[in-house]
Amino acid sequence: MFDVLIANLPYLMKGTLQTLWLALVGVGLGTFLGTVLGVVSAMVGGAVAALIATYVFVIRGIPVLVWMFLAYYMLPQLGLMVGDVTAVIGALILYTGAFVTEIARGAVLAVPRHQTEAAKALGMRKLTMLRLVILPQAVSLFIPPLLNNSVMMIKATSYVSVVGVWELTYAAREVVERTLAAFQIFLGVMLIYFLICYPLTLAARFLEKRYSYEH
Amino acid sequence: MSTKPDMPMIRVRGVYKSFGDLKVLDGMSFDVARGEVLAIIGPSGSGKSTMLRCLNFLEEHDAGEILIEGEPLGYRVLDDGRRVRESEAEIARMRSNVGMVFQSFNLFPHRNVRENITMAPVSVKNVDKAEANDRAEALLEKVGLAEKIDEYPSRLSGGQQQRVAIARALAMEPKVMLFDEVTSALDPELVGEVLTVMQKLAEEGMTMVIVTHEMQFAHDVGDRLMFIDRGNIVEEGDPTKVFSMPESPRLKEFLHRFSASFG
Ligand SMILES: Nc1ncnc2c1ncn2[C@@H]1O[C@H](COP(=O)(O)OP(=O)(O)O)[C@@H](O)[C@H]1O
Ligand SMILES: [Mg+2]
Repeated sequence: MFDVLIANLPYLMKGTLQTLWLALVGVGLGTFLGTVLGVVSAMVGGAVAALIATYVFVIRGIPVLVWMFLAYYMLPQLGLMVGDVTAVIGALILYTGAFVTEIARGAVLAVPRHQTEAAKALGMRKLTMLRLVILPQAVSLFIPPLLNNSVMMIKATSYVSVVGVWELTYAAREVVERTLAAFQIFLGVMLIYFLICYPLTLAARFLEKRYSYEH
Repeated sequence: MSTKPDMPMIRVRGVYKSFGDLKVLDGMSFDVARGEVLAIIGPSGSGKSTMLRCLNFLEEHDAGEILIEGEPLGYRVLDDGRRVRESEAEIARMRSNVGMVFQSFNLFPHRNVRENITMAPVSVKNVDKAEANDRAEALLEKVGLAEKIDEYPSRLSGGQQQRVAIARALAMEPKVMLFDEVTSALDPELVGEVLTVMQKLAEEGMTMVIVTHEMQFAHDVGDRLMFIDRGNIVEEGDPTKVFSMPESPRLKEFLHRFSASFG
């Protein structure tokens, strides 16, 4: 009954690897970017925080799909001759970064003020305080929403197919066009996305619970 | 920096502080001598915490000058009267000489007692880990909590947490200790153990500024008592004298209300 799916599974697996690679680079670097920006925004404040807030506002205000198109069509017009994969990864990084910035900023700001006051009163400078007092306490608030965000962004990698970047969803469409077995193939694709994302969702839920008991 | 024996440990000169339109410190001036225990009392909202927090720059005074052993805290006042903010490093260095204990303990919940105490000496003063550890053990012994060294703060009673907080502050070997109503959040039966530790410190010659509602303690342990109201020092002097012969109507009323509510 699933013979078409099974026959095309190796091809879909290749697409899956590409999806994972896009997710790893795009979501990974975006998470790194967002973590740095969020922590800086919370710690420094002022004009720097305002600038970072603007970035978050602009990026989040527009769907990721539109950013894909923008990156794909606009960058070459601006004279940036980047490949289409680079363009969509750039869009993924910026988009992930904006969401993670907010998560990281919120986590840092959620550490009670009396904790930073205790650290200051002991003579700690900002970076020491960040490393020893703030980040260790912020991390429990940071990880669960970060995992949920990663799930969202992994699913968003499927949008890259609209500008012709090949990955799992694109590969599936190719197979469907060839075999017309849309039901089987997309059922399989659904399962693959599920198998990638579900463990992350579970981990997020588990950590959320564990941290909430601690406090 | 060499210490200046001729300077008082703390010198506060004409310190003003407002939060928005609310004037909280209205030109405070006082000294605290080396080894002196100054007890500060006053009604709620009178500016006691704000004054104390100014003494390690957790609040930044709007005008006036605060000197710790003759060194300006937070702002340097130039000859032409302009104020220049000190660098973050300099402020941190000054703070490391001034220990503070808070009403709400503020221990680091993600670290055990040992790490709470050794964290600052190791990371701020580059004290060797083994040495910091020895010091932590000695300090815990002193506050009567040697057996709690590997516990996490959440497993300790309020009184125990506060004694750890005192040990944590002492581990930096501060020249002054500030206490802001450190027993107010405790169940009555736990107050004594914390006050005992503070009394011991006072007897050892630590310079202390204590904001408290424990009138008996202020009387017994304070070398000097200061009553503040609406950001002003209304009355100060020898505790026995101030308590037995209050001069200002405001202090009389304050003490009267206190004895009424506390028997
Ligand atoms: N960070 C702050 N922002 C605004 N108002 C404050 C702040 N801290 C204290 N206040 C106000 O300043 C006044 C004095 O507060 P505080 O020094 O805490 O008094 P006390 O310790 O004597 O009870 C109070 O009216 C209080 O509400
Ligand atoms: Mg207070």
